[in-house]
Amino acid sequence: MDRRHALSFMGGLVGAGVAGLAPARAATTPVIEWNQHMFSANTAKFPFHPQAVYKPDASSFQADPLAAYEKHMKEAGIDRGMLVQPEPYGDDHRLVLDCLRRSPPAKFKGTSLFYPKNPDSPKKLVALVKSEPRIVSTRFHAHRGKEMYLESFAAPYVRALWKAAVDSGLIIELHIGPNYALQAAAAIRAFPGCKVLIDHMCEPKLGTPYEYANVLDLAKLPNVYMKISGMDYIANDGPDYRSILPFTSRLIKEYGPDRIVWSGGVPRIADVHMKGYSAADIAKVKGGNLQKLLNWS
Amino acid sequence: MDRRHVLGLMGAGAASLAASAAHAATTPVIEWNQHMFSRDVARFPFSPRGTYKPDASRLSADPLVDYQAHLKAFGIDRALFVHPEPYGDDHALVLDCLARTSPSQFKATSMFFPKDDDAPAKLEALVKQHPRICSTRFHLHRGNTHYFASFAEPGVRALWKKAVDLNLVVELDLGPNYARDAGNAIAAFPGCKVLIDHMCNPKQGMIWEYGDVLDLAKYPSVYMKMSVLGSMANDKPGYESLLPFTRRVIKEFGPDRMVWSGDSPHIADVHMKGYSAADIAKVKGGNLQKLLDWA
Repeated sequence: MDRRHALSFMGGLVGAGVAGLAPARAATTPVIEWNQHMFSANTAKFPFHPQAVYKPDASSFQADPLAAYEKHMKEAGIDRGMLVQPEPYGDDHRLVLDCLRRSPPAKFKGTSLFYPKNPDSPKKLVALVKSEPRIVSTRFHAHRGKEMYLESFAAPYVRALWKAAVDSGLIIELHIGPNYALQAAAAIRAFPGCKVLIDHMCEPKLGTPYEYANVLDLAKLPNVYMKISGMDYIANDGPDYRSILPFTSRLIKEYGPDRIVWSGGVPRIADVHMKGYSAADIAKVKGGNLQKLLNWS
Repeated sequence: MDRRHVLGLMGAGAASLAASAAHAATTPVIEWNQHMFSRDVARFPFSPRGTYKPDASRLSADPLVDYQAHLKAFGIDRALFVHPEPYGDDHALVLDCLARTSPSQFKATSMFFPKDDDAPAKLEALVKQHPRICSTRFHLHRGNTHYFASFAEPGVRALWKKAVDLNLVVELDLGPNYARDAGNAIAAFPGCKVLIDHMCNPKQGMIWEYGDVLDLAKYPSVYMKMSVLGSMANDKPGYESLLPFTRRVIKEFGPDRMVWSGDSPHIADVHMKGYSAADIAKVKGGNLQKLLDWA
C-alpha cells in the first residue's frame, strides 16, 4: 500500500467510523439494565411462595416498585430495564407480569424462575412464555450456600428445563458460583448456540482464584455473556469501585467488550472499568450487547 | 522471498531449535521449597517464638539424607534449603546442612523477625559468614499475621533494604490481600529481586484480590513460584484440574519469571504444555540459576 492509499484509507476510517459513526452510534445506543428485582408491599396480592428460599421483610417495600424503579432509571440515565423475577416469589410470576402489563414493551422485559426439580417446570415455562412473550429468560441458581435448587447441572431435570428454555428462544441466566463453572460449561456445550448470561461476575466472593479460572474459561463458549454487577458485594469504594480494577480489567479482557454487560449501580461503572476501550465498546456494555442479545430494536 | 531463502531460514530454524533443545537438556533442575526439620531438638531446638511447632517424634533423624534421596528420585540437580518458621531466626540446622553439602548443589534461605531492631544486623552477619545464604523471607497472609501487619512498617523496610544491599532475593510467603501492600515495597526498592512463594497462596485470598497478585508481574524482577498445588487440588501428580488457573498465572509472569518447585518437576511439563523445551527448562531451574547467579 503506498502513502496515498494509506492516507486515503486512514481518512476513510475517520469518516466511516473511528471518529464519525461510532460515537454517533454510541450516543444512540440505549442503556439497558438487567438486574432489578420487583418486590411489593402488597403481600395479599403478591404473596411470597411457600417454597421460597428466603422471605424478605415486606414492610420495607414500596407499594409500587415499578414506579420507584422508573424514577431510579430516569435519575441514573437508564433507558430500558429487565424485571428480574425474585426468588421469594418462587415460580409465581404475578408481580413481574403485573409490572410488564403496566409498562411499554419498548421499555421493559421480564425474566422467570422455576424449580428445576419440579417435573412440571418445563411445561410451566413454556406456558408462561406463550402467554407473555416479554418473558425472555429463565434463571438457575447454584452456588455455595444455595445448593437447594439443583444437585448438578448434569441432572436430567435441569437439562429438561434448560432445553425448554432453549426451545422457547430464551436466554439462560446463571446465578452461579465459581465452583459450578465447570459443570455449567458442560450443560452449555450440550445445547450448542444457547444464549447464556452469567450474573454478578459469577459471584467471586463464593469461590477461590483457581475456581475462578474456570469462570474465565467459559468465555471460550461463544454465546456466553458476563454481567459486571454486584460490585458492592466485594468492594466498598462505590460508586465506581476502582479498587477492583485489577480484577475487572482481566475479566473484561477475557470476555471482550462484545460479551460484557453492565448492570447495577450507575452505568458510569462501565466507563471507569473500561478505560482505554472505545466509546462504541463502552456503549455496547451499557446496553448495546443486551439490545442485540434480546433482539430489542 | 525465494525458495532458497525459505529453505535457508528453515535450516537456521532447525539448527536454532536443536541448540535450544541441547541447552534445555543441560539446564539444571533446581528446587526452592524444602524445609529441613530434625528430630534432634536438643541440637536443633525450636524457637520459643516459632509460629508453630511440629511433632518432633515424627521428624527424620537426618532430613538432609532423606531430601538427597528425594532429589535423586525426582531428577532434581540442585536445591535451596528453606529455613522453616519453627526455628525462628536460629539457622543452626540449615547451616549444618550447608556444611555437610557441596556449594554446587545447595544454597539456603533465612528468616528473621522484622520487628526486632537488630534483625538487619543479624541478617548481615549471617550472610557475611555464610555466603550460601542467598535469600530472606517475609510471611504475611490471612492466618499468619504474627510477624508484622504491613510491608510499610519501618522494621520491614529496614530488613528489606538490608537484604537488597546484600544482593539477596526477597522471598515472600504472602497472601493475595497483601499483594498491593507488597507491591509498594517492591516499588520502593527498584531492581530488587523477589520470589513469591506458592503462587501467592491463592487459597488465602479472594478472587478479586488475586488481580493484585497478577499486577505484581509488572515489576521486572518479581518471580512467581508454582508450588504447593496439592493444597488446592487433589488430582496429583499432575494437578491438571488447575490448568485454567496456572495457565493464566504463567502467561502473566511469562516463562522467564516462573519457577517450578514442590512435588515432581514434571509439573512444569504438564502446566506449560505448548511452551518450548527451553522455556520449560527455565521454569524447572534455568530461571533460578540465573536469579541466583549459580554457575
